[in-house]
This record gives sequence, C-alpha cells and structure tokens, in this order.
Amino acid sequence: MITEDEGDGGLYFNGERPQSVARRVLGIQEAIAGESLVESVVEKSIPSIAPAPGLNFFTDHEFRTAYELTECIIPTDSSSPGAKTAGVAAFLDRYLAIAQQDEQISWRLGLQSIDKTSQSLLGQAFIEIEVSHQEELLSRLAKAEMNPKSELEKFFVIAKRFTWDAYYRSAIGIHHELRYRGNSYNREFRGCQHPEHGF
Amino acid sequence: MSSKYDYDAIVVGSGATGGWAAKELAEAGLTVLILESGGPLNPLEHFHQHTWPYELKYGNKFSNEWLWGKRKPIQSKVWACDEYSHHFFIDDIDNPYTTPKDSPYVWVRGALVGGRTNVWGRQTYRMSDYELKAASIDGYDVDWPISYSDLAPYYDKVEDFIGVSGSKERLAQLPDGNFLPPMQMTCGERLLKKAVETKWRDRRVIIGRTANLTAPKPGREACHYSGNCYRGCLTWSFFSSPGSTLPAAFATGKAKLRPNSIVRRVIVGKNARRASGVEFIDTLSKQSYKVSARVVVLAASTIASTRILLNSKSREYPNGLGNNSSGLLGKYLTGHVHSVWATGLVPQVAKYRYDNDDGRANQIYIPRFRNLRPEGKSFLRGYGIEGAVKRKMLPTTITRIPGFGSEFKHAVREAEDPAPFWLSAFGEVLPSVNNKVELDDKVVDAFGIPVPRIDFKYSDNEKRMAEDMMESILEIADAAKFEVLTQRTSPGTPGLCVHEVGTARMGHSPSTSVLNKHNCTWDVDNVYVTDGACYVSVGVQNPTLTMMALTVRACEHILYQFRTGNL
Repeated sequence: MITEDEGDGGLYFNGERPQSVARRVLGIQEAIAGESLVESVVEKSIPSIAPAPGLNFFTDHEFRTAYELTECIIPTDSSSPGAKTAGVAAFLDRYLAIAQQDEQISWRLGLQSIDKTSQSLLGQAFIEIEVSHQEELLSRLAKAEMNPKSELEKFFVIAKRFTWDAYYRSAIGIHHELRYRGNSYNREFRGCQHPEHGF
Repeated sequence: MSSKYDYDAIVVGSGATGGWAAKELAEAGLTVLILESGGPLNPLEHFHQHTWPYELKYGNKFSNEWLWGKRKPIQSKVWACDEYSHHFFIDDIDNPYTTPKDSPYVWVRGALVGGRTNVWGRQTYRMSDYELKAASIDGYDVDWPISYSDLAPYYDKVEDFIGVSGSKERLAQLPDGNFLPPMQMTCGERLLKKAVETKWRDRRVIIGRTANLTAPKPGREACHYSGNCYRGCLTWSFFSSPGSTLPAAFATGKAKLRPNSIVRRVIVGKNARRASGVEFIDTLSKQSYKVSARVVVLAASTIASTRILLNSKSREYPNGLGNNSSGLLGKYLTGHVHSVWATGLVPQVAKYRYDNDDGRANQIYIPRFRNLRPEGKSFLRGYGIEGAVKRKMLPTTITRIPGFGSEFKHAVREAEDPAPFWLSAFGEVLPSVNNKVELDDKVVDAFGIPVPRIDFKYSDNEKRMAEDMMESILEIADAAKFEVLTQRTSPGTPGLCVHEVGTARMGHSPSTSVLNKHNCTWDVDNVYVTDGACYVSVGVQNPTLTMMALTVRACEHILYQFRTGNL
C-alpha cells in the first residue's frame, strides 16, 4: 500500500523508501552514499517507450537529461558555445530513433542510471542538481574512462564519445570552436615546405 | 550516311570509356547514340561538394550498410556509398547478380550518367611492357597483343585532354605521361620519401598521378583542394565523363544520350558477321526498344559488357555473341589483390599542424619494385603501394584525450599529436580461366534480363603476394619510423577494389581470344568492346587510364573502317 511521505519527500511503499524498493527489485547492491555509485543490472529487453511530442525517440525527461549531460561534457565557455547550442541532444534523439536496438537500450538505461546515481547521492534527478554537482558526478566516472569497468563507467565513455563526435559535426563545433579551414576554396595546396623534411 | 540505320554508332555506357567513344566518333562526324542504363545526372541535386555534415540528416554518422543496406546491400560495402554520395550507386535489388556460395564477389556499379567516373579514385598510371608483356617475362598465360609503344600515342592524347597532375620520374615500370604540375607532399610523406629512397635504391616514393587539374582546361577550373572529390565537383576539376568527354561529344551536335536505357542484347542481322543494332529496355517504363546502327561499341563496364554479349545468344551464336571462335567469352575475369594495408601514427610530425591536408585529394605512390628482374620470389608479377600522411580536422589521437568540459575542448583545439598514415598495396591477380562470368539462367533483373553469375577465387599466387606486400609495407613503415597500429594481410573481398577487368580478352588469334587487337570481336565485324572487358591481364596500375587509351585507339580503327567502306 502506498502511503504519503513522512517528511523525507517522495512516496513510500508499505513504509519502504522507493530507492530501496527499486534496488531490491532490480537486485542492486545497497549503495553507501557518497562512497560508491549505484550499479544497475543491464536489462537486455525493455518495453518500447513512445517519444514525447516533437521528439523522435526520447521521453521529455530523457531528452532533458541528455541535454544537460552533453552540455556538461562539452560546455559553453569563453572559447565557444557548447553542446546545447550546437544541438547535440536533438541530433542524438534523431540518431537513436533509427539506431540499432543495442545503442538505444544503452542510452536509455545509461540515462536512467545517471539519474539513479544523482538520486542516491543528492536526492534529485540529474537535471535538477547544480552544474558543479553534475560535473563532479561525471568526474567520478571519467576517472575510469581509459579502463571502464561498471556499466555506468562504460556509459560515460559512450556518452563522451558521442557528444564530442556530434559536437564536431555541428556548425558551432566546426566553424566557431575549431575554426576548421578545410572543405574550402584554395588556390594552391602548399604542402610541406620545411627543409628539415627534405623540401 | 544512309538513313537505313538510326545512327552511325551506338555506344553502350556513358562512363570513362563510353564518353571517350562518343567524343571520338562524334568529333569525326558520325551520328552517335549513347545508351546509359543509369538516370540523368543533375549536379545541383547530386553534388555535395561543400556540404557540411550538419547539412545532412544524420551528419554522415551511420554506417553505409545501416542507411542504404536495404536496397544497396552490396554497394553500401563501398566506403563512398555514404550519406553524401549513395545516389551514385546502383540499386542492388533491381539489379542483382549471383555467385557460387563459397566465392563472394562485390560488383560495384554506378547509377547515373557518368557511371563510376563520378566517384572514382582518380589515380592514373600508364601500364608498361613489364605488365603488357608479362607472359614473355615469366612464362605464365599470354601477352597482350599490343605493346607500350602501340599505346603511347593514345595515352598522350587521353592525358592531354583529361589533364593528369604528376611528376616525371623516368621509371621504366611506370612510364611518364604528359603531366600538369604535380601536387605537393605533406611533412610525413616527405619523411617517408627520404627514408625509403635512402634505404632502397630500387624504391621510389612519388606524389600520386591523379586526374585532377592543377592548371585549368576549357570549361574546367583547376582543383581548389576542397577534398572529397567523390561527393561531386562543381568546377569539374577532376576527370569525369560528364565533366569533359560527354560535353565534347554533345558540342558536335552529333551525339545524343538516352539515360534509363539498359541494353539487353546486340542484334545480329541476316549476315551473321554484322550486328544490326541493339535491343534496350527503358528502365522506367520497362518497354523494349530496338535501335539500329552501323557499329556498336560496348563500354558498359567489364562485367556489364560481357553480360550483354552473353545475352546476345542466337542460333548463330548459341553461347553468346563473339564466343564462337574461342569459347573464352566470360573467362579470365581478373582484378587486383587489394586491401593489404597498415595504418598508424607518425610521431615525428606532431608539431606540424593541420594545413588543409585533407583538402588534397591525392596520395603518394610507391611504384612496382617486385619481379622487375629475377628475384627468386615465391610469387609472380608485382604490386604498387599507395599511401598518405594526412591530418584531418580533429586530432589523430582524440580518443585518448582524457576528461571532459572546457579542458577537453582546449586539449582538442591545441593538440600537437602524431599525424595518421596508411599504406595499402594493389597487386596483379594472375589471369585464370577458372575465374569467369556466365549467365545465371534462373535469375533475371527488374527488367527481365538474365543476370551474370560471377565466379572468382584468389589463387595461391595472390596469397603469397599478399604476404610479401605486408612484409614490404612493414619494412617501409619501419624505415620511416612510423608507428604501426593496425594491419591487414588477407586480400580484401574480390571485386571490392573496383578494378575488375577481363572476360572478353584481346589477342592474336580467334582461338585464343574474344577480340582482335583493335578491340573488335573476331566473330562480328562491327561490334567493339573497349572497356575493361578487353584486358588480357590487369597489371599493377589502376586500370581506368589504359581502357580510355584503348578506346581512342579502337575508335581510330572504327573510323578507318568507315573511311574504307567496310562499315
């Protein structure tokens, strides 16, 4: 029976907090707050979820999470606008709509996992916490990026790579951030004119 | 010319050789009908020359197979069949072919006027007598019925018209051409040249000879180094038939082109030694038409032309037109050993940054150095090595840049990292009578025409050559102190290098060949085959230049036949 909360915020299931219900149901280890991150069991089959209006794949909440996550990875700074302005999350949504199911599941579960972590550390969804806390959360995952072990660490690697790849395919990434001079009109190809290379 | 015939000449195919045949014949005053199976080319619609990834629906991020694999499961295996350029490649479902189960073959075909010249790699090399007379050297199979000195004037003519940029090297195994100024090398490539030429006296690293203009020609601008030629070129700076030979043909007022017209067969008249014309199917209406001419030139590409001849069965030619004398029509399909490569990093040039490297749509070439003299190698014939050291927009080692956020952006922007290199060999597959094209009598395409059955396997010679290629590539990379990261020794899927030739070989006599040395079938006096089908062997060099030269030479013979009243 669901009862109203008793001061903590959120609903309880027969006196049990939702997080622990979820963890028990999904077989997740009890997380020691602040010390380790919630691990999730990867579900290989999930029910298909209809996208929100205006979106091709994501629900509204998923999109907003991806929006924040990608901006965290490639932020707006003094050099150039970041992933939000570059439309990375919108591209990701278009991309996932026709991508392989493995990739779709990976992202769906990864974003959920980010939220679970955020909830367990700070009691709020990823999109609700401060940017500095978002960055801190990702930093912990990034520590393992050259040798990711947990599902969430692996998801960080996927998310990071997709984000920069999509960012550097965008007009902002190519022209504003990198000032790429290729794909242009040139009267000559100078090549190497260095005597140290044998020119 | 009498009006008994619809046209003086029918040219089947509008690609590299079809465009040349139409130009040569029309400029001499013949009326020419070009029949092209593909659709009309519309540059404003089909060219994506300066298109950015963000102007494409999926940013060119998906694999070709994923996006186009449903209608183009074979064509999407080619790297160029991507979001920018997939429309240049044929619909495989409408245009199937078959192979034996254990002998996969990738048959790549164009879908628009201009054929594969819209997307080709543009490397342009003359064959030498080391290749044309290889049989005299090593005793395997037969020589070509012509030698380099027979071809030289036609190489001259083709290069002068299409424009080839390159450097004179005075190498017997890679004859020099009439070149436009050569392109420059990158830092890493100059280091490679220095290292290789210091260590081996018989090896050279040269800038690629490419069919890109480095000086303008009438109606065509010089290359402006935007890279990605395969996406289309609005300045017609690289050779394609729609950019040069077809306009020249049309300028005479004598040539017409009918697209969406797939030729089914050549029709032979009452006189079995004379063709009266062709039958073709309109690919849109599926209607069949006949058109008559004094001469038929097949330039539909290697396997397509032979397929037409095989489908031209009749009482007089029960095994296909041109097959009576030798029985060799369809036999000796050959191509290149390819996709033996190494890739990696050039650490020495880390401090030398991107300078429009990827805008130079050209590479370096290491001409053949194998089996030019008895070497005691375990394999016959030779190979060349292509390669490049070209930076791209992003740092070569971006996947190793740690972290995220502003620091990551900064690290990417300011990266001084090694440049990437690749080295890849193309070698001669020995011609074998067992590698062949036949008709599959159980399968027809969307237009009711029986499809080819392609039966090709590599032999032991190819496998041993591949091992030697790998050894050479690795010792070359080692000499230049390049860091090898990946390598591949087993030859790529047959057909995928798109250099298929043979199946209607030229020769000295009707019993040993399908065509005489003027590219005319021995059996029928007015049917010529001038595309890759006519090759005796593939040689080392990329084949497109040679087949264009052969086409010009064959047309000279056709015109001679007209002048002397034989046609």
